[in-house]
Amino acid sequence: MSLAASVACGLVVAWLIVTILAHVPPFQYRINRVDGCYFIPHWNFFAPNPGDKDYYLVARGRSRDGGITEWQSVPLYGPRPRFDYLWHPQKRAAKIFNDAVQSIRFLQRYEGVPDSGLPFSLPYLLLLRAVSRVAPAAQEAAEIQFAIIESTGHHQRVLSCAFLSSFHRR
Amino acid sequence: MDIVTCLVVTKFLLAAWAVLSAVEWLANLALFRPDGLLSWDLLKLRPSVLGSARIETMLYSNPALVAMLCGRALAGAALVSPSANGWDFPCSAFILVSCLYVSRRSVFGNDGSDQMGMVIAAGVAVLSAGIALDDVDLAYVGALAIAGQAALAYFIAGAAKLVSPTWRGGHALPRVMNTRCYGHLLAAHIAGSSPRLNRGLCWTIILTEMLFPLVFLLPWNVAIASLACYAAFHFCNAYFMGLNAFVWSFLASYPSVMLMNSTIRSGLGW
Repeated sequence: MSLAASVACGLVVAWLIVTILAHVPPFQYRINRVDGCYFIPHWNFFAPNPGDKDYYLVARGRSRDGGITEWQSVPLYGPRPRFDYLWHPQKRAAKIFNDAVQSIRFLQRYEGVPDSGLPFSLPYLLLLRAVSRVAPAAQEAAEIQFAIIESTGHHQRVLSCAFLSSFHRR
Repeated sequence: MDIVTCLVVTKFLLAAWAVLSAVEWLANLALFRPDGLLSWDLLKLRPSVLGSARIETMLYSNPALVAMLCGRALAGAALVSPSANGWDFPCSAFILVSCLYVSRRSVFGNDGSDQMGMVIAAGVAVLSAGIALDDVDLAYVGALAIAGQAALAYFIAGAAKLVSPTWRGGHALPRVMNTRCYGHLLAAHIAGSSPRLNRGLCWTIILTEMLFPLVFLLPWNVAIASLACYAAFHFCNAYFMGLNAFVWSFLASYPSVMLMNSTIRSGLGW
């Protein structure tokens, strides 16, 4: 075996071993921290918790005189196209939003980040930014609040509030 | 299967994935605008991996992102040829770089097809370098990388489901099918009709995913038939869940799996 092949073989074996370790809890956190380029894949699709909820972003505004608007939907992505098995660009925005929601939940449940600390986290800031720029309610308001609504079902949907932000000045 | 055929089939499927993923990202450029969900104004607050926030801001500007995605699509198109050639290594290496670039730029929104696309691009880069340098061992290392990650992908996905009470109890499939994001009305209707069917389907997914590494040991025709079943699984996921890009990137790993099947079986004298 040539030197190039030997080196490449060693790197590939190391990559495979690190990939396995990246799925073992004690190593997971450390590997994720140093994998800034996302070279280590994570293969636990839809497990252990399947993506069994739809998430929606809603927002409302509060004016200077204290009046609060109705909750309004913040459109982040459109419905799935008919031929989504061929062409499905909408999945990106949906996945980004889902990832941000899961990230906020992870910070709350496993990192012990208090509610007062969440507004300094990246997923929270991304959602707040999107809300303040996109939400119709935000256009006139002095302050804005957003909520994440989760739902299941296609027709008879069950809705519940998964997260409620504080009011933020615009 | 010989190593050149493995490369040609793999790079064709990689090309399809690269073009599709690049064009789908390009259709989402609004996400990267300052008011988008992936605004760099906020994402630049992460610790820099290059040691300089200014360089990263230049590197991840929207024109650079567009250039990178167009480059990925062009590199994918250039891979489509019926034989191994000198363009295979630079094109696959560029696709690999673009995968790492987009993962870093976007942080959220990447899925398993992107990860497998990155794996395939890395493997094809090594495979094509081996063929270009007339170093068969190096070429086999590229196939080993792809086949090894494919085996881990299926096995870990199955094992992660096995430890989940939701999957073991047969509740996962109907719940996922009941969402608008990843579900399907007809599938949700069918899943809602029979808990026994759901449990059977969930366990079928768990076991077939975990048993994927056995493909390396199966006789040639049985291995081909098995991979056809796994491919059908991805077609179903594309149709019912809208996971279209998984088809191309995961099927791209199968030629390397078959190459490793031949190598292992001949090594064992089977």
